[in-house]
Amino acid sequence: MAEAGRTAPGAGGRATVPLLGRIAVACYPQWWRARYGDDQLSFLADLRAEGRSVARVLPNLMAGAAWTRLSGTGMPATPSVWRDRARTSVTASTLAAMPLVILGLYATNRGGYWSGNGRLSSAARVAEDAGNLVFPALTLVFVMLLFGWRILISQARELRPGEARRRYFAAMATPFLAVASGLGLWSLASHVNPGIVTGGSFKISPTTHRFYDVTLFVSPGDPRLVAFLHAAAIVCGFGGWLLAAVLVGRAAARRGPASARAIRTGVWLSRIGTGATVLLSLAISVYVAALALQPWHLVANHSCDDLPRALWAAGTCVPYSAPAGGAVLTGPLEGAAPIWIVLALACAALAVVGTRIAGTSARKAALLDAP
Amino acid sequence: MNSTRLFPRPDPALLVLTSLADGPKHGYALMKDIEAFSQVSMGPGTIFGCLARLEERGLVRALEAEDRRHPYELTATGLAVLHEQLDELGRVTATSKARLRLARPARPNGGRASG
Repeated sequence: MAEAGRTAPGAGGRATVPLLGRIAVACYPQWWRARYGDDQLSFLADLRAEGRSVARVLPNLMAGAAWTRLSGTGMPATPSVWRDRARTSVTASTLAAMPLVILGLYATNRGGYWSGNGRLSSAARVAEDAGNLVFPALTLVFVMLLFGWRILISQARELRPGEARRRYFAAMATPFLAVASGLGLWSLASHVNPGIVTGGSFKISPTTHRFYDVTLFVSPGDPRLVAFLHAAAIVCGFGGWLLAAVLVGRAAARRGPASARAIRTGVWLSRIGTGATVLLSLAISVYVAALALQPWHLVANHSCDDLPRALWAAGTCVPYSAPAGGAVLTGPLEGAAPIWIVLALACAALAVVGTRIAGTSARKAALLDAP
Repeated sequence: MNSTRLFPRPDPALLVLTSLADGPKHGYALMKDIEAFSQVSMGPGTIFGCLARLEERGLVRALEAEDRRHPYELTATGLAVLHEQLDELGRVTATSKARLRLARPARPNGGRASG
């Protein structure tokens, strides 16, 4: 029976494995594919040759790939492989913070407050405090990115002076230039169409001492120009941020010798960054949840109705109002708080898992390095 | 009552070790053999994950590749571990059967033994 099993019918090669099957096998780590990749492809070829569905085993393969990446079962006892694993985990936990930064900035800009007589409801005060936590956490994440950038720059030392190095620096500078351009465009839009702030300044929560009543926009310039500037600012700012994420990921994915010291530093940076990420996700969750508890109703807001729709689209005017002392969420956040909370917590969980794996992998690499 | 929902499936590692007990097999042959003797269907992710774990612990080893796939065989340690596991299961099975004979539980057909 054993001998019969050995010679499975239709022993095929890569050519007979469907594309999705090959993609699923490619999801396994490199060291795994080097060891079991051909075995798995032959398995799928045999499955197909017998007329069985390869699609049915794809979820099993994908789950196996995820588990192998998480557990590292069967990894060779080579320090460089474990250091690579630590480096990839640090990158994964850093990249998990990136969508949270965008979500944090977006969420805190979509809460429309309506102070009425100057007093906010309890939920709105909680939201205000949570929103204030977002910015310190964002700063921490940004500092982490700068450290990552420094590692990128240190790689340039390996390049020979000349065209290659110039191209490398140009690629690295692009996202920062894009983010800076976005900020500049936003300032320009505010200059073209300045807001008039009315209302009082008083303490509304333990962390917020000043609160402005209502911001109305006058329109001395062309509103379409303002809308264009806002849109360009958003594209540049977010585009630059995403490009930075791509470059950090590419740099980390580059295989090469990494010193034990660099890995140790990376793991510690990852721990700090993950702390900031968890804080950020909790702040966003509390902020979004607290605001979602606020009752709101659509009213004909005269200050919005008077403005062209182009300005609405750019987010300069909130076409809702809430009862006095309340606050509302607008845009895609409205009514979708659970989704945003799940997204925020999932990013934080990914960062925590990545950091934990990075720590254990670095320790294992150090053990294997020891004489 | 569906007993497979009440009790977990047999451990994949035990199924793989049992399948290899009568000789070396590659991944696909393992899957077919396990399906035949236990009616448990295992995907390639489970089978190769299991083989990696067993190989890491020295319970199985890969033989020279045939047509780009490795057959796997039990090592001496794997054989000893399999004996140990089966002895343990055997003790539970024997005890359970002995107690069932003593208890003679009421059957759904009114307590009359059939056959």
